[in-house]
Amino acid sequence: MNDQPLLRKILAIDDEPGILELMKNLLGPESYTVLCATGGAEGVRLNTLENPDLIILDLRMPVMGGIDTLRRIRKTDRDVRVVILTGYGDSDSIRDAADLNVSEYLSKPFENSQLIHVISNVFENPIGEIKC
Amino acid sequence: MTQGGHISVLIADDEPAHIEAIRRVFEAAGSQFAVKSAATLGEYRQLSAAEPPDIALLDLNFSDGSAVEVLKAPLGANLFPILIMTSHGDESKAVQAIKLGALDYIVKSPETFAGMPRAVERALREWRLILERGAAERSLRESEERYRGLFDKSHDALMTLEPPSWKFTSGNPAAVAMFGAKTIREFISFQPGELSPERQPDGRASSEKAREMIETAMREGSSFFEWMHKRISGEDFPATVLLTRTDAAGKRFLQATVRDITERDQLQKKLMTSEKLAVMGRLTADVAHELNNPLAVVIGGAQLLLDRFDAQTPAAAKSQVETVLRHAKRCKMILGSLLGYGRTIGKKEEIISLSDLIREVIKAVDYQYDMSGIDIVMSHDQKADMEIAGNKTALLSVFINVIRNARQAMGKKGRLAISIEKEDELQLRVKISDSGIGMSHEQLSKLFQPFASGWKDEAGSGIGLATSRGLVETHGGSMLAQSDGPGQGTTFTIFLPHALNRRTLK
Repeated sequence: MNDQPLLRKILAIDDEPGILELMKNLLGPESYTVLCATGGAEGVRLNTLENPDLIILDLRMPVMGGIDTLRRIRKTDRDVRVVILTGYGDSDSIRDAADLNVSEYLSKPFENSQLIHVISNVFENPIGEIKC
Repeated sequence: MTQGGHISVLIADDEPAHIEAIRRVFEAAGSQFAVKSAATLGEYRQLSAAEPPDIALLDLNFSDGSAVEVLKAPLGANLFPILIMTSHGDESKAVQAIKLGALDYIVKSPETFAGMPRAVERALREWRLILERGAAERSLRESEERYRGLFDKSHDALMTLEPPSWKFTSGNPAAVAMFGAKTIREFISFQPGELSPERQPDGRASSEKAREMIETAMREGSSFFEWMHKRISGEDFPATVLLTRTDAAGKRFLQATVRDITERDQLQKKLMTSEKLAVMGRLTADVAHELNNPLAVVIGGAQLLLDRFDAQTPAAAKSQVETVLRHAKRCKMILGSLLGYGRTIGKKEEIISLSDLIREVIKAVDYQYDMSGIDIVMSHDQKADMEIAGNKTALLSVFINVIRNARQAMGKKGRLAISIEKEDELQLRVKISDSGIGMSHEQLSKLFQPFASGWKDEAGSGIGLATSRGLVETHGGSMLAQSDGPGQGTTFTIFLPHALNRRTLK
């Protein structure tokens, strides 16, 4: 038997390969399975395919932005937990995402401990609970 | 003249025989004369009022009064010309009648009666000339008054200059006020050269450039240019000048129209600064966002590396990575301070106690920079209500910025005095004085300009104070800096509207 059902699956969507690599290196040893998508479209596809427990989504991406990506994901998947990575002064976009059931926001550049903390916090809360 | 070529003549005489004699002469002279007559002054008044004649022949004395009663001086005030008829020996009275508004007088005699039609025609010709001259004079006077009014009431300074010395020969009240003279006479007493600084902003000598402008205007009819003028008090002010060549009374001279453009210039400068700020704001936002990702990778990677290090890792390697991490975090902080504010404006406003805000600022600054050697003295008016309305993040950044500047100006040791007071019913005033290196006049003048800070390399971003002032202004306040010179410390004064006023303003 494998113990894969025990490993929580995280899908990281970010256009910056450096960030994806960092996520893998950082979250892999924390016993998460990390899947990576370098754009919104790929992220939507991987979400349907892999059904992750949590998505780490970059707000600012070319072609398909974070909000658009999340809207598409929410069309078919109301429950997946989402952590959004924001830059400075993205408050307007954050407001746009208010109805999209985002579990947590984390501003870039973040510290490793912050990310790990945020993720474990999000997993402690039951799915579907809207944080204010 | 009556229509149809008739000349209506009104004869007034209390001697019916005289009237008859004159009437006959006119009848004999031709059908162009229409004669009416009055035997008393009352009758004359009645007839002339009912239908004013072209001319009246008026005896001097009547049983019911004297002809002088119906005369109007000056001559032109009468509706029609009046010829006085006198008896021989009454010449002095006749002269008096002329002074009182009669056109002329005729001494009654058979000869003069015979010449009456010619006299009337002559009188009418003269009357026409008088009327024409009167109209011309009136219109001249009116136009003179009109132009005098334009000259006197103009907001532009108007003056005339005459060759060969090109001294002022006249000036309007606006010129007197603009240059700060007390009277027109005082204004004219100044040489044009005395009302300009020695050199113009382009570096040319004012006298030389002025001569050139005058020559251009004399040659081409006019010249329009910007000019730095000087008030009598010694203060320079920018102006536009229009020189117009004018010919009058056989003289050729220049008329100058000077407009003070101090306000326009200031507005332009303000616009340019805010434009610069806006462009820079967009630029820095974009750059900072681009830096976010690589910085996140550097910080995360360095932290990861540190976590993986163990006892076997050489200490030097560890400390090197720690240095990388520390500096990356500093970059993050700089980006944050660059962008954190400016974007928050207009988003959320709250009522803030100024003294609480300042205390929070001191705590924040102390956390980021070592303030242990700085003696901080804070005073505030305990009685007055020190609340303002605004965006807290933005205002925090303003004061953090000012105090950080003060800290940098002082180095590790110094004295920082902060006072919060009521300026007046509308505004609160925060004064922040440091004992630091101070500023020269030139440094002060550039202080709020973006990228003009005196800080070298790492000490500042170069936009802090420009942004801070912009933030204060968006809160309806103002900000200024004073320094008595290098080594004398610097004082920043920030005015912010009282919370109540801002709320009523909205």
